[in-house]
Amino acid sequence: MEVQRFKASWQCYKSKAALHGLDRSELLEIIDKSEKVSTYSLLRFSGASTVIFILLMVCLHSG
Amino acid sequence: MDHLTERFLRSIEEYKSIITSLCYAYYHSAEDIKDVRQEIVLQLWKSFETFKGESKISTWIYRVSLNTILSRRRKEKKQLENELVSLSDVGEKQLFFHDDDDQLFQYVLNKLKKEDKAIFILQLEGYQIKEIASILGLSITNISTRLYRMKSFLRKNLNIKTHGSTTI
Repeated sequence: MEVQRFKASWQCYKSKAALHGLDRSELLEIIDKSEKVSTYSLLRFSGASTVIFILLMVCLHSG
Repeated sequence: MDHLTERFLRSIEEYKSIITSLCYAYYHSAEDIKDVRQEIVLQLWKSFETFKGESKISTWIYRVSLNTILSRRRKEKKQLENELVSLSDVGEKQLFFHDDDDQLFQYVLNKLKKEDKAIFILQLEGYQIKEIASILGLSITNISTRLYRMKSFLRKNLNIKTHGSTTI
């Protein structure tokens, strides 16, 4: 079968590709960056919620 | 470092060949490969906590990686127009191979459309049609049709290669 012929090539491709990058420090950097982004999004969300809450309270009190 | 992060790092270390080889199968420049690799790791990390182990971890890595690549490719409309790489381009973009069969493999990989390439790779990994359909979110009929077309394409190209009427 045609596909069978390329199985060894794909294994060779994979083993050679594995030699390129993705070390532990790079992985940790990505994780760290993602956590920073999540924290920032959370802060931004809480910030926006606080502003809305204050505005609502002001409206209620003034009304 | 917490247990989850440690487990994630170990899994990626073990299966990094899947991620990197998929990046190399779809992208050619070092910069693109680095970017897409980071995007895949990020997606894997974001969904790692919810991975329930219903499938093999390697299958899950294939699913997330291929979906990340395919969705990125969809966004890159201009690059999609150049999906079919010409024979001469393949020569320039060869990354690894010198052996005849391996060169033909690289040629085929570069000639296939993005979804077909994913199906081809998953077939080489020994996945069944049903599993490929589930990984790529396509129907079994769709996969079967694409596989039939792809095999005709491979047969034709292998035939040409055998009769020496093209240089790869």
